[in-house]
Amino acid sequence: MPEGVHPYPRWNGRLATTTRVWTVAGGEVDRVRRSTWTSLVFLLGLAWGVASVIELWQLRRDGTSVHEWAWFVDMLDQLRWFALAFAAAAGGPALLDDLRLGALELYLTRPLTARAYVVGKALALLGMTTAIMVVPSVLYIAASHGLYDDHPERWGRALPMAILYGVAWGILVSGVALGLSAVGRSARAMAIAILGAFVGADIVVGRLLSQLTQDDLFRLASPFESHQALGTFLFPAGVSVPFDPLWGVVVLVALSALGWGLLAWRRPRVRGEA
Amino acid sequence: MDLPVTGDGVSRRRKPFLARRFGLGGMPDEGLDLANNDEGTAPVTGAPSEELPPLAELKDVSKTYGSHPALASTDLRIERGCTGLLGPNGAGKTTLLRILMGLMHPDAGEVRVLGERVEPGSPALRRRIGYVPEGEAQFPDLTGIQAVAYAGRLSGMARTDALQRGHQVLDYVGLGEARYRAVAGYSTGMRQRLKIAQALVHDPELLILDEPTEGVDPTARNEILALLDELVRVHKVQVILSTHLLSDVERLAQHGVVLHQGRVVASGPLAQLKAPRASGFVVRANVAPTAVEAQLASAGIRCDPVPGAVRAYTDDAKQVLRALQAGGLVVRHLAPIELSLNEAFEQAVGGAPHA
Repeated sequence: MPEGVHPYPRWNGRLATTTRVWTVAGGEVDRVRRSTWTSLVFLLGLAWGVASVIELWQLRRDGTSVHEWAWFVDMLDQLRWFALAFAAAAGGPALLDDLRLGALELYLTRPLTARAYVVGKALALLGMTTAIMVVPSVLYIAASHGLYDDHPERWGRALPMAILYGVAWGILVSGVALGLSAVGRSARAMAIAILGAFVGADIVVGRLLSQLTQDDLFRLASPFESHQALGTFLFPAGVSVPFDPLWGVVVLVALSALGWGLLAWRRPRVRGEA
Repeated sequence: MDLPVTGDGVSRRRKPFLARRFGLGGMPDEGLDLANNDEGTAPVTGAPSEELPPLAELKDVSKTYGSHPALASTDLRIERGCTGLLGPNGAGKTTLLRILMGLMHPDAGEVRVLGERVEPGSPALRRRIGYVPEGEAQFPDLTGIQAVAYAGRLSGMARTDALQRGHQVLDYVGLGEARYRAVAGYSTGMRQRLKIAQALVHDPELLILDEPTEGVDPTARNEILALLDELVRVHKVQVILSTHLLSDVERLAQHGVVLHQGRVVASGPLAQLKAPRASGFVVRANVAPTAVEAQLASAGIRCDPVPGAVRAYTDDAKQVLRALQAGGLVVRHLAPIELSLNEAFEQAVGGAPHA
């Protein structure tokens, strides 16, 4: 028994009165870092970006004098799968584990609003999913400047465009992941559901139905193609979609809003919380 | 239903009874301790301070879930010190705690904690409160020090302060050796102590504990109670303790609140709560309690056996003495009835063992 060994320590410091959103976000990043699966997916995404940089270097060594927008966009499109897998693996436990382990009560009985809790979690997930696309982009662009003297047209816009493209995908997959987690009960089941929803919408609705009906409009149902529609506005070359890209953007915004709306509607609550 | 409260009954019970021995009668709440009377020693500290506000005040607070009233027009004042919140399952204890924490908004009424009005959606008051939740409530993949420091940071402490203070409170609760171990490997008792450390990390004015000894073995329970006892009595930390274990409340609290079906059925100093509704005396004599009971019954005094003694229900101690003397019995102990907290609780929630 510690009684008498260590006297009760008083503390006279000051407590910050600002919102603890960034503390929650930092805690969430730490949690993800401690998870083997989410760390693995995150690192694989970064490794894929490094592989693209190596490919760029090989093309230069083989005598290519100018790199292309299409290569860059292709890398970004492939990285979306890693971002999706990461959001599915990290998004489910972000809320459901706190509910399962009773940790939500530890948060909400601190000077922290429920909104700050959810926003902190969402910011962490959004930041990390976006980083999977943006960090390799930075590497790629830096390598392109080191390896090539000539660049494609408007290459100077590559980084901000890549960030916008990455953020848009991050908003979509994080929103859907957190939204589905808010209504689910099992983190593992939710991870499978998130992946299933994206792959199912892409393959079954987007590709299969459009082939069967010969109607490209069905491809709007694919979140990947809807996101590519945004790319047609951002990148000067390398992206095309078989439908009016404006509709693609509308679908992208609608799907994102659906995910975030679901989260706002059914955010996790402490038992008895108003 | 309210327990009868007799003003400063606690202090009156402590007056020497022998001085009035020959002026017996009409003082049912005073005692004659002819043997070694250990009754009537309930703690009487924690008198309300005039300068400081009470821990909590509820005025006409109601909360309903659908058609089920969780709290019905509750007026309550929780004084400084340690208050035990008692009640059977579904009595409204959790609802009350959540309203005090500002987690739940009452349908009507006004709530003040530490003199501050509890505003819906405003977490500022929680900087002054440490809360030990019921159940698991942990981050199992964190180490002890990480879990406590994180709780400190969530309360608004700077990173270095939270870490330094985390080490201090872990030492204090006796988890210094386990601070770098993952919480997942902690025993139930260690987890409960960790939750207390998390609640204390920002040095709150008020500590609210929800079933802090639930599910722990007797040794760990004793350690936790000793820790809380030291916090309450030595360090004057203000505590609201919700539990269904009456013995925990008896050990720690100076005040009690009994909730039943969403209503406060009794509140006040524990000694007052333990005052019996039916007046009478606990009697022991130089013979077996059954013989005492028979003798008293023959004199027309209603009585009940209790372990090692008899309870005689009459206002007149002299009548009891006469009855026993008439039977040639030698009185060893004669003291006013004082209920155990368990009996007081049963009375308060309607069990009424001595109606």
